[in-house]
Amino acid sequence: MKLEPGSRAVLACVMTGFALTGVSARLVQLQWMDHEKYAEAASRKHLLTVEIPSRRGLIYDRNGELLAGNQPLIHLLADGTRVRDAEKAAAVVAPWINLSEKEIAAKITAGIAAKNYNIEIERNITEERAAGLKQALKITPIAGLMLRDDMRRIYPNGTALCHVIGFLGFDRRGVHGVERSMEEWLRGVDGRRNIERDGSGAEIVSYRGEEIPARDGASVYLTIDMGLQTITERMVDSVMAEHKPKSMVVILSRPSTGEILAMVSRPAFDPRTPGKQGAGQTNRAIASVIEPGSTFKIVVVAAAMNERLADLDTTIFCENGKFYYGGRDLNDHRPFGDLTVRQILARSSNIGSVKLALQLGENRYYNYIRRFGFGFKTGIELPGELPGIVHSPENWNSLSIARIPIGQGIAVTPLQMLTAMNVIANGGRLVEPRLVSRIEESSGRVVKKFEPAFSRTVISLAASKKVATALEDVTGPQGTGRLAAVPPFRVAGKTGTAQKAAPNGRGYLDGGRYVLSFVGYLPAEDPQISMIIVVDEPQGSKEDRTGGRLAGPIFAALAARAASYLNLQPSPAGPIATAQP
Amino acid sequence: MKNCRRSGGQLQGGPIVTIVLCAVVIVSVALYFVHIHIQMLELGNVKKRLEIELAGITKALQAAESRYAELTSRPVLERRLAEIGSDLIPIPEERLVSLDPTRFPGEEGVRTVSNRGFAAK
Repeated sequence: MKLEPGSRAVLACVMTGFALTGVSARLVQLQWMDHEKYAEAASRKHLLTVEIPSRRGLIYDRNGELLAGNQPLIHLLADGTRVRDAEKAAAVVAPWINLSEKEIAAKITAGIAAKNYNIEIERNITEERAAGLKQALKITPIAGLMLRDDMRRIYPNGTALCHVIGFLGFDRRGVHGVERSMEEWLRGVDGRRNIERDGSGAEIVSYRGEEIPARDGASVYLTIDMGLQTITERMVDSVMAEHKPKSMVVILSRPSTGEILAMVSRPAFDPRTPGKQGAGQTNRAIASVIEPGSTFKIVVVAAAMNERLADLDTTIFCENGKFYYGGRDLNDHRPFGDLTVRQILARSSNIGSVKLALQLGENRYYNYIRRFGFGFKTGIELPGELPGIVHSPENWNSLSIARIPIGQGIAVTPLQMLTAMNVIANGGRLVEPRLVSRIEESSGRVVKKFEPAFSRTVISLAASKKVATALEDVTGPQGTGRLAAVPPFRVAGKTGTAQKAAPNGRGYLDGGRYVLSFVGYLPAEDPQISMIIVVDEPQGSKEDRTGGRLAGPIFAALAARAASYLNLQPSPAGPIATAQP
Repeated sequence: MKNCRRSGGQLQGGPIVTIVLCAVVIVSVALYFVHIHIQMLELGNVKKRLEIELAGITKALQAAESRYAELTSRPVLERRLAEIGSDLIPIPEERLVSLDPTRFPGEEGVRTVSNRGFAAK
């Protein structure tokens, strides 16, 4: 068929029109109808969001000594789907890691066979070795070998202060101690950056999109003084070795501010390998309760003084050592006749203390127990604190009023007992114990400061002074705590020798199993440090297993060293320190 | 008539100059844009290199800090002291004298602690 020239032009125009229409239709489909789909595919290929890792905050003691830090590490990995020659890769890598060529090749070969894209060749390569390895890989590139940056938490002091510092779990979150309680501050916030890559996968920096910088975790400064902590830990370890108790707790604090200066709990654990020592992880200073024994007598005496039911010189007949009440006999450790209130504390008379409680009455006495903070958590910045066990008077039996004043039928934590003693040291005011001093950003800006928290006035200043006077007698020549004296300082304190309660709560364990304790402070006229010593089931002769004979000397030795460390001024009434020729 | 023919064959200089100028400006702007763009890419690469360097230095600093912390930790220093200080004779506690003058509340001035230890020497 032969077309006219005009018709050919028309046909060409029509065909061109159809072709252009087709192309236009396709363009409309690509650019408009399927726009989202292709835009997303392009984004997936070229755009990427990379994470900017943050650094976990550090933990320091009150003087800036590092307690928990971070150590950068590098792991060597291989992608089993990309490594072609295991032997060649092993030859390049071997000089820089602790494995032989043969071992490396075997690992990579096994990974290639299993199509493992994350073969762990060696973890924790040091910075210097990693630098050498990077250089070697630059000279002889091996596809599929990767160096991955990582961070490890380090605890330079090992087991020291382990219960307070705590440790991290596998997910890098704190699971114990300050690491857990201060997790919100210590944990930083990872940042992110949207980047665009070229065909080779390299970032085109000028096309960088939105960027949210990483925020490093803040550093936590504790009230702990590592000098005192070390002195205390050494003392505790020597007592543990000599007397082999089941457990032991020592806490040092500054009464006026509630700052904890040292806290030791045994058995201990190594925070670098926390999984291996489960039993030692309990911080017995806050997460273990004891029947306090005679140290609890300070509550009944303080309450009686505050209610003006008794004065220091009020005389109470102590029944010559045997008092029948509530269907049971109550005994003193030796017979006493008439004792003044200060003698009741100094000689630790059970009968005298119970008679004071009877004068107070159940409800009033219970009220004082609670006001001293027993039955409540102290609020210290540590996880797992127990409130103790304090039954209300409705649940008391006829014997309770004759047992609780001498520290039986009640369970307290060592920290609660120390806080109660601090009430006397502070003129009747309850100051909450605290372990964290401040929180600082990496720039040095203080974001939070923990100030002393005065909870309430428990007893009057006058009453507290009277109790303090009586507590000084405890470490006097006639007191049960005379071995806790620390000349030339005036020391106020109270001994405790508590028979251990049976686990089922019925009666007490046989075989002379005791919890021995001493709680006190010095200098009595201007308290600078307070301390509690708790020794659970020490071995040794029966005579030595009393709070005054075992815990008292420990207190004295520790207090003397702490006073020297803190350069405390000797008490005016005491003898002046002299240097012997 | 002659004048008309002459004027009709003449080139119009003004528009040509304008067009050429516009073309030059557009080309210059385009070239400048390309130049800036290339510079941005190069600066981006420099920025990236510096970022990597900075990250490396930061990491090295952190590694040094952690090493320093480990080497100056109490257990290590105590062990070191025990190694090098085994020949030292510890000073007995009773021979220690506080150099701080003892001040009692309400009392002023310096108070001698004791001179006995020194007099004996």
